[in-house]
Amino acid sequence: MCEECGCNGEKQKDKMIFLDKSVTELNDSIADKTRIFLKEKSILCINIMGAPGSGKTTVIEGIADLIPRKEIAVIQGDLESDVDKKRLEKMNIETFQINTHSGCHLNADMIESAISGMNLDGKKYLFIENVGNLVCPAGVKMGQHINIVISSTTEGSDKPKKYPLVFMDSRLIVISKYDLKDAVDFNEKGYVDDIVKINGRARIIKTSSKDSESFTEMAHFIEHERKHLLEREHEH
Amino acid sequence: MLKMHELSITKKLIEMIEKEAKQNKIKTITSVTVELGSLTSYKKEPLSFYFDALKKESALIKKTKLIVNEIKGRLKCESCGEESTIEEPYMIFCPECESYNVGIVKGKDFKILNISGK
Ligand SMILES: Nc1nc2c(ncn2[C@@H]2O[C@H](COP(=O)(O)OP(=O)(O)OP(=O)(O)O)[C@@H](O)[C@H]2O)c(=O)[nH]1
Ligand SMILES: [Mg+2]
Ligand SMILES: [Zn+2]
Ligand SMILES: [Zn+2]
Repeated sequence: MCEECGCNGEKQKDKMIFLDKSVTELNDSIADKTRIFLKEKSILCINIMGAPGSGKTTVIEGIADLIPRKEIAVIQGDLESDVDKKRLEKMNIETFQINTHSGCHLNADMIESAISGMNLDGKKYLFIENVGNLVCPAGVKMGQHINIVISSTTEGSDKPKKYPLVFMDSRLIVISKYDLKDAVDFNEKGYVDDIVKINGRARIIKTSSKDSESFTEMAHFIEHERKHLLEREHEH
Repeated sequence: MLKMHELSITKKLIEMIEKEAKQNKIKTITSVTVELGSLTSYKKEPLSFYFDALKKESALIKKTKLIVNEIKGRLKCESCGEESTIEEPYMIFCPECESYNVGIVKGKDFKILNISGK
């Protein structure tokens, strides 16, 4: 027997199998099922991405002050702990915690199994607070209908240019901690110019935890997005 | 943590290769060719790094060469209809007419193109 390939003397030739298959195929098919399931339940699923501490949970809290809380559910993704879940539960928001341990973003299977453990009856909005990370969650399908990035003034105005992928895929970009913009010399014009180059169709909204009114525009935005989703005939 | 990012997707890739090999009665895989779009969050170096680390564990892919074809993203302008290459992921607009009303037509996929073996 030939040592190299184990053939019986005669050298076999390689055969080539053409595939053209996405490596994320399995994840994406789970995500598709979730997205359709949620639409059928009239729930808009919103993936919230942003760096650690950018204000993701604060924004959810801000919106929850403006929309009936019983209409909201949240899936919290963190490496460890249930700190954010406890924060939201204090406001009587139904929250499911996922701890990814070393995982740098959430995947479709995690959301599918979270949803199977939640009671979503009567909910209109399902927020997924992704793991704090501006890189890894980009482009990952989980079942969300829209992506939102929370990008705080304190992170600096160069973030869109340095981490374009999360900005590229988002319907809404929230400039959070707007109350701190002067203290950190946030270059708003440069920031907005860069966003336009990456994602000219994105909406930009500014929020501040010091001004509860500042979340009104966001609440309207998601109400509008939900209406849009329900009007769409086919989900694709 | 960032480098860890490619570990789980590399495992997925290997799972898929193993499944295809089994279905096609291939005992050893010589090479795998993948296409990696510049607008995905995955990078070539860590992919190759994890592939080479993991392949030692499997007889099927022990000697497999991973060929990564990196491709740049492409966009189609909805204002003037022109298609163009996205040279940098932070410059997603039409170089012809400078419109931002564009759709991405290529570069967001990570695909297995083919496997070859016997
Ligand atoms: N001044 C000011 N502080 C804010 C604002 N939004 C959030 N913060 C503060 O920023 C810190 C982080 O806010 P979180 O809402 O926990 O941020 P997060 O993105 O959910 O954080 P992780 O889940 O840990 O990634 C907290 O101390 C907040 O009080 C804001 O608009 N203005
Ligand atoms: Mg949080
Ligand atoms: Zn990662
Ligand atoms: Zn054009």
